[in-house]
Amino acid sequence: MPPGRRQAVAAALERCQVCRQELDQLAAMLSAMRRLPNGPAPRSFVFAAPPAPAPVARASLFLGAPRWVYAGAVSVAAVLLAAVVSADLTGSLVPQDHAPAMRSFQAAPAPGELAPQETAVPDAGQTQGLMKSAEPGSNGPEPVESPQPEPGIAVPLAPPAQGTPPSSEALETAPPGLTPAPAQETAMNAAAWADEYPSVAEGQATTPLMWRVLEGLLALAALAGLTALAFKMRRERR
Amino acid sequence: MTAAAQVFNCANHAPLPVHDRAGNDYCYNCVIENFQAPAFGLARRMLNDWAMAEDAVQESFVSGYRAFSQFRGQNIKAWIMRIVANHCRDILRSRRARPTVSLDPLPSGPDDVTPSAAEIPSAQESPEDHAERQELRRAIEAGLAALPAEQKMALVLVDVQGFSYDEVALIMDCSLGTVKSRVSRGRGSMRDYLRATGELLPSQFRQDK
Repeated sequence: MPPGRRQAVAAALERCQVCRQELDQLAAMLSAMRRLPNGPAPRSFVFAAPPAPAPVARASLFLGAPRWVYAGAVSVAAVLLAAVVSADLTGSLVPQDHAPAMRSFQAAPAPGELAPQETAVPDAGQTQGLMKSAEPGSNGPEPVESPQPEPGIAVPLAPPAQGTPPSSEALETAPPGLTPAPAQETAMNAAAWADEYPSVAEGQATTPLMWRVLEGLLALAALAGLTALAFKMRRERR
Repeated sequence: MTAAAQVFNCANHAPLPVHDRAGNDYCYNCVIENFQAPAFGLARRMLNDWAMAEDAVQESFVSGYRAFSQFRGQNIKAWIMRIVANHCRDILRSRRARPTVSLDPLPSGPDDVTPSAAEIPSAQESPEDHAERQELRRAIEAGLAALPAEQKMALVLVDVQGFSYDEVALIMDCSLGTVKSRVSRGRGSMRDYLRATGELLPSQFRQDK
């Protein structure tokens, strides 16, 4: 202990009686421990003859290889596992026949982005108005504003971004005065899309089982290599 | 071998030449003679069994002989004690897995230690002081036996056998900080044990009671 610190400790001990008692106890205990008998061994362990060499253990396939073999195997398995898992997470392992479906799936605009492109056929009253304005003597037909589509009947033209075709309810609830031709077309497009890529439409566009099995095998290989390495290091330590 | 015979005294045994990894020559019987007492002391306190300690030390020396070519020539005492410590750990582990009760009437407890010169009362010591010291020794041995194995090993090596912290770190195959921590915790446990022990201990341990 440095002299300055020793003085500080001594000053603290002078002020604290409990600390002095603790120190006295510790010193007495250590002194007694150092006086514990460390007598000679009960007998001599000297060898009269050289001990027989250790029995040659049968070479084990599990722990017979050098340590670097296990370390290398673990590293390779870990790298491969990381590569496969990252490819899986980025969707690179999805089969090629699913790829165009996924591209069209992702390219479809979101429902909020769709502009209402539907056109409606004017109803009967409006038709009469038009016919009146087209009568002789008038200045000619005035431009008639296209009626705005009622809310709730806009139907996306592309397959919905959520991957589900438009519901038939939207088609059925359309007012009789409007022609739901684009919506029907959209529904047909979605149906065709689902027919063309059934597994994608049903949510089965996942990584094939083969890659899943490979991921599991690589994880098992890395785990087994780590275990073997730990056993080997423990054995060598002895 | 000649060099080893000059360094060590082979008068009491047959020379047993061994070579370490650095190419140095030793007489292994001389190594045994030099270190068998601390090795047995550690094994006896770790195992609390005289016969088991003898077996552990014998097996440790055989293992050391077979593995001597792996010794790098740094601290042979720490290397031998490390082998003994590992053997003791193995025995304790197997004893935990398969608990046995010894039927051997041979001395096997801390109270059965053969009297040594340290226990013979000196002329300056009163009978009361001698009895008190013996009681403290028995209490310390019992307290040591009650400690966890790693704390016990650290405490025996540092406080009883006088190894340095660096050597104990080599023997126990752990860091210096771990050794200090184990010694500190072991001392604290020992002090608590002595405080809780009876009235016959020296006055320092009775002040709190």
